[in-house]
Amino acid sequence: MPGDAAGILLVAENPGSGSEAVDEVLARARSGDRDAFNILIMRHEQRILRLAQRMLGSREDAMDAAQETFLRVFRHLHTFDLKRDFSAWLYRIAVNVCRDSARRRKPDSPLALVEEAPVSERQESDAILAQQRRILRQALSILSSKERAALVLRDIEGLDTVEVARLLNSTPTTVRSQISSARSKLREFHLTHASGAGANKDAGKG
Amino acid sequence: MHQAQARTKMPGKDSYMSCTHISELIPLYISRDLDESETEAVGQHLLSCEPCRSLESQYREADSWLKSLSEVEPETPANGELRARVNHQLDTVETKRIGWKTVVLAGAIAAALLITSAFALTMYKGTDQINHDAGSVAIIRQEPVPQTLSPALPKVSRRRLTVRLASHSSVSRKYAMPPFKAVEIADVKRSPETATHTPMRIEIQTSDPNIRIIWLTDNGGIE
Repeated sequence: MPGDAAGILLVAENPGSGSEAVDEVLARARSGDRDAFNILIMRHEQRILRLAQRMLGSREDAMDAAQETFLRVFRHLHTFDLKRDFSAWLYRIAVNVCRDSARRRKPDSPLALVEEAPVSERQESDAILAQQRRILRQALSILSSKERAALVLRDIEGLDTVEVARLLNSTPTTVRSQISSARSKLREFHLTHASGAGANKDAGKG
Repeated sequence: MHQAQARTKMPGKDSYMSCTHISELIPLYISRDLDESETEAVGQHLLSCEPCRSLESQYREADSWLKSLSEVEPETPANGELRARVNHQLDTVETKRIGWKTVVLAGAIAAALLITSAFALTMYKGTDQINHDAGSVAIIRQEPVPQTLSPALPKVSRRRLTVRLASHSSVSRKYAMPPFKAVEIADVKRSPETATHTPMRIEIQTSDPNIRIIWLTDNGGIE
């Protein structure tokens, strides 16, 4: 992370003076300061990209979703109440963008995860990490978009069921059903692919 | 699903839960997403049912496996790539907005210059002549006049549709203000009265209700 953003981040994490620094950057961004807005992007882009990639699968879709998320944030930032939790607000926008993006795909079909970014993976110094990423993508790809969204938010992002339902404009009962179904599919995938010959086969594809 | 179907009584209820039912609850049991009675029932069932315990174990392993994979950060774009894309979009939108404003501003300036120029030209020409380019005036009366008046009457240029009030210069200046406009002289010429070369007295009402022109043609009618 570039030095200026890292510096502000360190200040933000410093108890006592952090909140003022964060509010100042946010307030500047809110008033249209593009430099401050770029600092906000630097501060949150990893989390948003990670969420988008989990929910959408491909790196390029995740980039598009993250870009749209920050554009929406910029357009509506002037309406944001500085007393609220910006991170939660941003996160909710990102989830909505990802849902919209997933909805534009074929309905009722699992998300097709493109085998992506071979150049990036070739440049990946740690082949094991690349393999783990690929396996995770494959595992998530067998889920429907709704199952995936619920599972990612519940099991990977660590939100509780009620919060997941709120983010997805759904009900806790529906979310539980989706999570249950997703876990069943993942259990079978794990039995088939993530152990013994299955895992080696997948590793060999890389 | 295993063949041996154990049955577990729901705590506080008379109903029993089969292995099939328990197996459907296990995915939620492992994350404590069941209500209290269901959690207790599944827990009791697992104590006595080896196949369901095995199933629970598989779910927990899959869950741990997923979480361990999730700890690996996904491939991220090159540093600054996202920011570059966002800023590019913002710049594009801003440029479009500025471009639109520029076009509107330039159009407004051009229109203002055009109107100013036209007004200045009208004012300049109005000092000694009156242009008639449109039909916004009405001839309200035309009638023959006595021959004795004809030598002093104003001249009319039919081609340029201009009323030249040389002998009435003071009146000309006074009336040469907008919205003083035109008179359709061709109509006068084609009228039966002018065809006989009879001197005419023509009253013209301009678009300004306060301005009326009294026009006397000479002996030869309209030039």
